Amino acid sequence: MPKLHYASLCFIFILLAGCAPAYPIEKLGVINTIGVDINQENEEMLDSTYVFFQFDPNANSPNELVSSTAKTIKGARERANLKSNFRLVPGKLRVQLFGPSIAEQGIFSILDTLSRDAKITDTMYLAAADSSAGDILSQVFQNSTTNVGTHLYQLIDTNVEQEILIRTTLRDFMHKYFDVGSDPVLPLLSVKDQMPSITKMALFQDDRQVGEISTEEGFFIKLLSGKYQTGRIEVDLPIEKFESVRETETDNRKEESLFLALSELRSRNKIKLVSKEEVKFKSEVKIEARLVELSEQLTLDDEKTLHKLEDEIAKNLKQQINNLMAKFKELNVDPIGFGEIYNTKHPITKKEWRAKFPEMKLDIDLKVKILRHGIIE
Amino acid sequence: MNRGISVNPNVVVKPNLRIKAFYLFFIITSLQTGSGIMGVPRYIFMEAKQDAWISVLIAGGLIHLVVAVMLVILNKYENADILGIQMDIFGKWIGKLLGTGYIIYFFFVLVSVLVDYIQVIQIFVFPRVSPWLLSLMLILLIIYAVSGGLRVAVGVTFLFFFFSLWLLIFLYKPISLMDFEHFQPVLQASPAELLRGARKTVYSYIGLEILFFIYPFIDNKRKAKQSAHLGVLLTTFLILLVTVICIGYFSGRELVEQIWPVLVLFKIVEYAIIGRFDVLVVTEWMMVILPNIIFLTWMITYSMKRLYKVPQRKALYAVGATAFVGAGLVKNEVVILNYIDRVATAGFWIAFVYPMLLFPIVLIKRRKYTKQKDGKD
Repeated sequence: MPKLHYASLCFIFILLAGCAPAYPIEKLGVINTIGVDINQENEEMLDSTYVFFQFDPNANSPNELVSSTAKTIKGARERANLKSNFRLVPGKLRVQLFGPSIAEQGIFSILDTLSRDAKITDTMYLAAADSSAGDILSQVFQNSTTNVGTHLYQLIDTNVEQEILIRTTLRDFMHKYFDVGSDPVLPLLSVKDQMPSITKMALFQDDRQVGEISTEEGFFIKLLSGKYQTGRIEVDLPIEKFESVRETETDNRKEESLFLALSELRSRNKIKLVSKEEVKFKSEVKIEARLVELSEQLTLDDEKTLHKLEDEIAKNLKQQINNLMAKFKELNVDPIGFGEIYNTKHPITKKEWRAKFPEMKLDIDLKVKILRHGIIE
Repeated sequence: MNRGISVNPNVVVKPNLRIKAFYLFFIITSLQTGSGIMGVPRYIFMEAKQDAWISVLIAGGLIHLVVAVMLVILNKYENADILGIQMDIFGKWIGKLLGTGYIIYFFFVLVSVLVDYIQVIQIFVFPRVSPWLLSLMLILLIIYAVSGGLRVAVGVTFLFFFFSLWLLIFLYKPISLMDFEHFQPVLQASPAELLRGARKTVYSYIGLEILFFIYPFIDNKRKAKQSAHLGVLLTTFLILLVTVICIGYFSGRELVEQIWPVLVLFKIVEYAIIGRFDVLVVTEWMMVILPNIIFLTWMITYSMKRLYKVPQRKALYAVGATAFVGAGLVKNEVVILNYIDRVATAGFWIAFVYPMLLFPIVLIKRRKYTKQKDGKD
């Protein structure tokens, strides 16, 4: 081929590249967080609140907040566009917040539109709110001193990274939702002293929020369904069992119980279906951790004391798991995913599992091992 | 030996146009892993559920058989391609007719790959770019490469193989999120379902036909066998890999809903500098597609030259123009999926069943032939 040919080909390519639409960043409003509620006056309508980031150097704040009402999520975005001088794009959406009104009715239809849209990332977090999502966002918008747009995201993300919360990205939610015999959980945001905080976990039955547990109880969901690399937990034990090893000379606190904190907690867990007829599971949990805090001064250099402590912790954790299971059975939600284990042996439908779940029994074999107890003996 | 007429099935290739058998490995793998692999786990899963991986293994085994058969057929001649063989066996006119069938089939495959990839770009990256523009860009690249001749096409394939191989590294993230419970219970699918699943795998194995066309160009034919089988082995491994990851990563119902599950796997990958890794993957995928469309076009134009003595350059421009119109016209997703499905069915018969039918005929017709220069090549 003559050289002229190649030159003209190159030239055409350069010209063609101009045909693709440009997205000048100064004109974009990059949506960070969306809050969705059901409109109070008209139940068919959705209220959406958007926090977005804009790059106009002359603006006072890098963030803006708009809200709009429409029948669909996409429609709400179009309407919000009318209120904003920026073009709203969802490519960097980090948090989707659901108000109680919609969470109790079911959020699948919204999540379905989100996961259908290739522009939306699978790694964004979902969260439930204990009051209207729009209110929470506007409170954060007014009071946060840091970057509003990323405040909620970082609030969730840092806690997930430290294994205080369970990962609840869009992908995780959809995965649990679609799996037979497992239900999703989401962090529950509330506003305290005008700042957002995560106080509880919202339990979902399929896509409907049906109850809540404390974040401490949330620890056990991950303990039984996954494994910890560096978890942490606080336990309180009755003090009278440790009367003998108490260093009473230097210790004169009068509390009834002994508080202790375990950190760098590693756990392993195996759940087996023992009996199909009784729907009985057996769970073997092994925990290894560092004891970092004790409210009383105990003599820990004795191996026996340490063993006793380990046993008492195990007993306490077991009790807490049993209480939590009772709660799950009452609400008929299965965030740990026993149904999934059942399903691998005896295929079952979601509906059948819902009927079976309240009768299930769990036998826990929990072993705690304290590896170290700090730099002081 | 040929009854009467003057059809010589053999092709004379100048030494400077020949390629090493070593490249056959890259050509076969690159041609097989094109646009099909983006969506294939879903189709196999729809048939064979969690046993889809068995279907992939069955399909892989069968494809090795087909390769062996193709090589036996080709080795019954001195240096022939399928176009010559058909004319030798069925006579000039039927042979030309069958050859034309190949041309039409390749053209449809070419358009299907273009349409599929353009649709992916529109959904993931540029929703507002016209398909005409994208198809023009791709076709200009094809014309550029094919007009350089076979050796350029081989070079492109060789380089792009390595340029796209690194994408595999980033599958570590979805692998770490796999749920191995999804594979149980094993062997729930009936043999019929497994075979149907194997058949669905076929669209991503299309491309094997290249062996029938490129064989005369191979310099050291003795090594061709090893090279071809290794190529198919790698393809089987890749399909198996993505299928296994998809089954573990997605819940069953979720996987059925994904049109391109393999691309969605990359949506979970996220880095500080590249927030949306999937966009990068979609654009990078062009390097997976290009060897495909370049070789398809080469086969079309080469066959036109062999059968009808059309100058290859003129044929190239004509094919480019027609494919441009074809790929620009189809826009509707349902039509595209339907069309691809038909091409896959045609591919099943032409690429895999047809060599099997041809096999006994060639054996009978050429039973007297023994390769004379066995020791030499």
